[in-house]
Amino acid sequence: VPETKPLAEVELVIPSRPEYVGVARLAILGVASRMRFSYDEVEDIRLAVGEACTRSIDRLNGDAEDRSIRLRCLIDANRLTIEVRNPLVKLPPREVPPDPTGLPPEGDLSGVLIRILMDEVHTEERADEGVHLLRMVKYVAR
Amino acid sequence: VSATEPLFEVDLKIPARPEFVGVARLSIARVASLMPFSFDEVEDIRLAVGEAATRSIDRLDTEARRQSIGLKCQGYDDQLAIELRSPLAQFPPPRAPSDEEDLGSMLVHILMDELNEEERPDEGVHVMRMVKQVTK
Repeated sequence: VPETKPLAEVELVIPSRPEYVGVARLAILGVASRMRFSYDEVEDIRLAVGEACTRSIDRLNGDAEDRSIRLRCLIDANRLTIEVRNPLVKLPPREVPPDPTGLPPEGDLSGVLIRILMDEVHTEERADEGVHLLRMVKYVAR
Repeated sequence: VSATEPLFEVDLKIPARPEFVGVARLSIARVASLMPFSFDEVEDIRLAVGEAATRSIDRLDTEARRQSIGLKCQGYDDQLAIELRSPLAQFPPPRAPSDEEDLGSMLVHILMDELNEEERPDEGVHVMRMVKQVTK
């Protein structure tokens, strides 16, 4: 995604605790509903943001320190870009027992969900900034 | 003002434009509802933040409206403190405050337990600090 200056930008920083995911979901509702998205698209975005935040919190799970999650919403005429950043924390890999149902592990499921709900999804680890970044884009239907 | 560290902090930055006040209102309502406030108190806080943000934006000229407004919400055991930072208007408003502005200011006073306003020219910001106490 090329970095051009968006028309407007909204930033939100929340503690990395599950009860604050609702704050992010509501804030994004406020942002997305001002754009030319349909009701269903706004719901898609809201769900994707909720999943992205929950994933960030899961990733930080087990880390004793109080961390925060930073959301940036970049508003353009034809698209909404949302960046979710959480600090990069080196944690020992968790032992995941094989699921008897044969379904993918839950973390993967939320990743699949985000990809279905949004038009573009990109994740990267920025070791120099010490952050894990998830960027997702939803285009306004023409 | 509690001397202790806040239990949590939520920061929000929105463009200094009227159409984004709704984002602040929604977010603050959700933050307040995570604390032991009654339904009415949450509504008070939401209304106060909406009025405060609207007032801050009304003071700004077109140039300043390209900047942003910051909301810092700090939750404590016994209170929620909200700090609203807006760009400092270069010049004082050329007219006396309208009745509407007076009403907005009065509302914030009535709805919140504490209100302090301060201009920090060195940082180029106008700071409004509002506190709502948790009633026992």
